[in-house]
Amino acid sequence: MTSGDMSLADLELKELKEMRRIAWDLESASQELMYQAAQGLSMYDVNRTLLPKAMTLLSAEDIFLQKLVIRTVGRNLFGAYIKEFFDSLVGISPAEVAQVLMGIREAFRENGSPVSASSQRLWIQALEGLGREHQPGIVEIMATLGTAGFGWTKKIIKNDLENLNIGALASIREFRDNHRNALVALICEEAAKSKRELLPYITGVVDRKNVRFLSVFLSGEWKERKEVACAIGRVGIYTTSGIVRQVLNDPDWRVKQALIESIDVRQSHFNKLLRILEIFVADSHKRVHGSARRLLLRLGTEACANSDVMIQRDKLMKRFRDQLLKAAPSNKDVDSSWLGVEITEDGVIPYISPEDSQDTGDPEPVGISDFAPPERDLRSALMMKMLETKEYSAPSLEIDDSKAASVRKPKPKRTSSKIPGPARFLALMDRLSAELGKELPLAVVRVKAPEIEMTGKEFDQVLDQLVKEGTVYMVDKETISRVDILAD
Amino acid sequence: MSDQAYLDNVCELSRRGSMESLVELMKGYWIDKKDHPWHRLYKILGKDWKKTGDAKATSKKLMLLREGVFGALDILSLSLPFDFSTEQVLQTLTRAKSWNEGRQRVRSTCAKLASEMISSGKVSYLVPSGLQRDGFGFIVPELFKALLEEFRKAEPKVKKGLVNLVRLSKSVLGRHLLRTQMITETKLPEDDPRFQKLLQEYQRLLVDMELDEGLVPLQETLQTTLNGRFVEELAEDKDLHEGRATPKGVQSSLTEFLENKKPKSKKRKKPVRKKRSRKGEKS
Repeated sequence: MTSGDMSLADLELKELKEMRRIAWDLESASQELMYQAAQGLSMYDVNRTLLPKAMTLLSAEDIFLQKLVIRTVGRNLFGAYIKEFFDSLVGISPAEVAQVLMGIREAFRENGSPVSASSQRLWIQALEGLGREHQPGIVEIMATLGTAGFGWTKKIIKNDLENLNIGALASIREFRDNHRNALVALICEEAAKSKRELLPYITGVVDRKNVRFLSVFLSGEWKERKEVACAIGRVGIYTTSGIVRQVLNDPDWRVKQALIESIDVRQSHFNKLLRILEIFVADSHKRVHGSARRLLLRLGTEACANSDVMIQRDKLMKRFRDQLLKAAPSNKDVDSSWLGVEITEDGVIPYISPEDSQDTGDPEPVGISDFAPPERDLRSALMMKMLETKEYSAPSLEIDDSKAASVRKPKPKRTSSKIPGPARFLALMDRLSAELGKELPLAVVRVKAPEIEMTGKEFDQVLDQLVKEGTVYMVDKETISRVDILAD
Repeated sequence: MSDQAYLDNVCELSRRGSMESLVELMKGYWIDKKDHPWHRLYKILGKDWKKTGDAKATSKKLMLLREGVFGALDILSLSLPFDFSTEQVLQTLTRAKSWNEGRQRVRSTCAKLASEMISSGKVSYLVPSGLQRDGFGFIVPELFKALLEEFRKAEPKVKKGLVNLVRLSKSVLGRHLLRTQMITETKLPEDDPRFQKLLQEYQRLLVDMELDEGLVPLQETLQTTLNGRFVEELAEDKDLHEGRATPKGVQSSLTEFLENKKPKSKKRKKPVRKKRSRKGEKS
């Protein structure tokens, strides 16, 4: 067909007649025709002409027709129709309303949202009237309504954070950059003041541009700091200043370890990442420098955002060869063949350094008889043996490590009465877990404290220290368990 | 902005449902015709069609343009029933001297055409609620009357043992009735039990509609005076009293006004009673 055959007005009329057919069939007595028409209505790209007709069917008795019409109308609203439509949604099930909101969002995404401030205001007024359960959908639509929608979202965060639907937090990702950053900043600030439990949800929303706003949570306890560290790792290391530096200096090893383990290599800048790993491999805590070494090893096979594997290998070999060689045997799952050294040692038992297990204990005298294990219990007996001979730590896996070598030699025997607190504590735990299973109620262990010649205060101190070292793990407030690398 | 780009922009805004922005663009026509070529928009689209030869894309744009223009002028409810093209609307609009005048002209023309359609019985695509929304509420009673008339004429009648329902199925209210009765046939045998039910429902609906017809307040609910006249101008009456009371207030000094609060209110009431009784006497 060419334009020669018919005039523009004819074309318009032809299109109009098709619309009229649909409008007419929508009221047909035959259900088949009716559904076809409703389908046509929803398939039609351009169908605002049918909007007045469709509005009358919002309260149609046929529930399928009603659903189809509601979804179609939702996508075509404007002006006076907006309020009327949302008012008519009162009796509709929440699930259906959520569908409608999704349809609207989709339409906005495909066609774009209204640009004039007055239509945006109309939308906001209408959306405000919906229940809180629809907040996620509403906020997503708000994200498309320009400054007005941004202002509305800001208002609910500021005034009504208490009642904010958690799903709505995720919708904040939909806002455009500058609005999103401002909203994340606002939420962090408000949540840190009054609703800190929102932190895990906020960390799911942050990106590289606004992760820094999480720093308000760094004054909290270690669990919160750990969440923040994970979020920083997820967005990648591309700077060593600001919030990254703050986490770098964190006093708790768990926070640092969380950061290292969550770092997304592909999002990070190689040089910056290397800078912070340099600090971490020098960390005094075994787990921190262990994780850092592992990440170094991984960098030999995984490329960062702005470099490639060969460049990375070169640099790593030059600066961290020692660390890499130490890391390779204990991280067999990471490819280390590029180091050019074959790692043959196949020790199954991981290495535990002496500092980890005993160097911090206070030398309070204690008799071995005080916590002699029942004869039958093989594991506890073995434990005791190890304590006595000071060969508690397994043979080192580290090659070329003078410290480890020294550990291998049996140290001069200590008298049993000079076994340090933590060791006594661990022995007690092992003894008890032989009877009660791996997870021990704290109360039971506490009752036995006098058996290992500890006062309540000492008991708490030692427990704290062990938890911090990572040797003992608090399952919950009432239960503790040995982080048992020797068992199984 | 080139003409083509302007057209695309208009279509895009229409697609987004941003009719307020379209109104702003239309107002621009009276500022600079070259920048806002509403009077040529239809021709621009025609040229575009000739160039591309794409009827599908053109008809899509055409409908977007129609919806945009009708929507922006608040006459969307007439977009479906009216045969005339967007060009005619735009012509009417752009021939006026200002946006306001143009809008008024278009709307009054549309109202006239709609009334004509109703009086000639073409009521199939006119939606009462849509007309109400667009500010054509004054046509609605007329429309209801026409719908009722159409319905009345479509009464199913028995001919040679068969009931012909074609006419009923072509009337707006009839379709509604057939639908609730789930009758899809156009002919029913006389002894079909559904026919009796249909006839019953037909009568009921007819009575219902006749009662509803005057949705405008029924005369029984209006206030009447003793002689049976309807009280319609209450507000005006009130104004009259106040007008009388003010000159007295001006004459008295402020302190007097404060002290003599009570007697004054009595004075105010008196003329009201007098006036009403007088009115009754006269009529």
